[in-house]
Amino acid sequence: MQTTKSNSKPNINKLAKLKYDETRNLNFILLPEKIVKLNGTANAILSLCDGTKTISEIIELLEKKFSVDAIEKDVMDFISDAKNHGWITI
Amino acid sequence: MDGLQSKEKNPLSGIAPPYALLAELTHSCPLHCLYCSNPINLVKKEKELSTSHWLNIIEQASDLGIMQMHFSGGEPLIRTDLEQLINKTRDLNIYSNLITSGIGLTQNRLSNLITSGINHIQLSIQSHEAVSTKVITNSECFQAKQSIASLIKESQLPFTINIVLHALNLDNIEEIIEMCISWGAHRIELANTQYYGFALANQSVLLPNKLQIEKAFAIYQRKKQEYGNKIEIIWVIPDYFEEYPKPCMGGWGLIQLTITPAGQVLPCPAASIISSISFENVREKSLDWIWYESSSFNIFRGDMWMKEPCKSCIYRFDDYGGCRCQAFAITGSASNTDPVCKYSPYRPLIDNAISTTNSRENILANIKYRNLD
Ligand code: SF4
Ligand code: SF4
Repeated sequence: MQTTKSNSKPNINKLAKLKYDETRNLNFILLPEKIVKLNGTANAILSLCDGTKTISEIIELLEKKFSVDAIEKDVMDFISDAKNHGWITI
Repeated sequence: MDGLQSKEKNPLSGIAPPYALLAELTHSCPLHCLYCSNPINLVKKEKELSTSHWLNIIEQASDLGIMQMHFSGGEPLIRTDLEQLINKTRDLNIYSNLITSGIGLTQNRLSNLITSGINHIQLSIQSHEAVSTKVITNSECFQAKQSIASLIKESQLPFTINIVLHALNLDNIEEIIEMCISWGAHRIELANTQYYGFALANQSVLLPNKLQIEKAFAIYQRKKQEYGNKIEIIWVIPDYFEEYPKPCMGGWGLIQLTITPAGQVLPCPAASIISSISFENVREKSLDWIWYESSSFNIFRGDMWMKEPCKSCIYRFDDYGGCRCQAFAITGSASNTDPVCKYSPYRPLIDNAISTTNSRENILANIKYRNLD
């Protein structure tokens, strides 16, 4: 199993696209043959994965935005799941 | 489409909005694939929708909640307004996918598609070499496909290679997978033939035997393991060899819709064969009305229309009684249970078709190629 390093910079997979849908009032990630509904947390994390920010920076931004702390493990877990689903590349 | 449940329903009608639209821009095509799922009565060029029709459809689709558009055909590259339509999907933040044979894709065309905002290309191939490709497509196109794949690869645009599998290519699945990887595909779709349109007309040539399927499936599993998550390899099941039917398109009028080159709106690409239903046309009615109100979309929603054995079956909300088009094509009634189901009284027809595959001779003499003219 590969471990994800906190100084790597995740980016949305070239195959995928994030979308806020007004009809349903929900966020989604769109893939070639798949559409996946995102909850608020997932969308907040993925929206920051633009290939320029390291995972540590993403965590910091999220902690500030939502005034929370100790979210490092949750974010790392999500990022590694998202990578396995092919939503992001690292 | 996987991973979706239709939970976000319209509070008024109880019907959820659609997610995806398959736009069949034209039935014209430089190839003549044996397995083509286009209907036998192809739409002639002069009956095709105009650019302004399609631009308007894309706007209506976006308002309706469509998030993904598949541009298909025939060969969609034949439409010179393709870039304009893709541009429109980009403006509305709809994911765009081009389903193409590749023929006609020049460097120039590809750059224009990329500038227009295309998200993904699905390139079809027929086999791993030129001779059988010619038999399957009735044209010399293998070399062209190889160069086109390399153009797409160089452009760095994500692409899937799709191959429809049948008796004439299943034995080469290992070479096929290796070739797709060497051509640079990001995804590989190994799609067993679905018997509609020309594929049904050519069933005696295309239907494999059980052993072929089992061997190919074992190789697919081995390759999938070998490549892990380096590349996504998808196997679309051969439903004739299953005991239960596939849930057609995720259910009638639940997830997606298809618009034919002439503007007919269908719940499933194969549905035009169901001659007992009259389908609406976008030239006459709005997409919204067709999705929510039309009887052609409502007829097989829910379970009120079902007969036995589906009516009392515990799987009826998992597979919705299978495919309506297949029920119509094989049993003569679209409201019958899909004949693939082991509980269908028509299952012997499927078993019969499978059993004849062991005794056929000179299969190539039976080929019927499609022709628009
Ligand atoms: S299946 Fe073949 S003949 Fe049919 S539309 Fe596609 S490329 Fe053309
Ligand atoms: S009887 Fe109908 S609902 Fe039950 S498994 Fe067969 S097709 Fe599906």
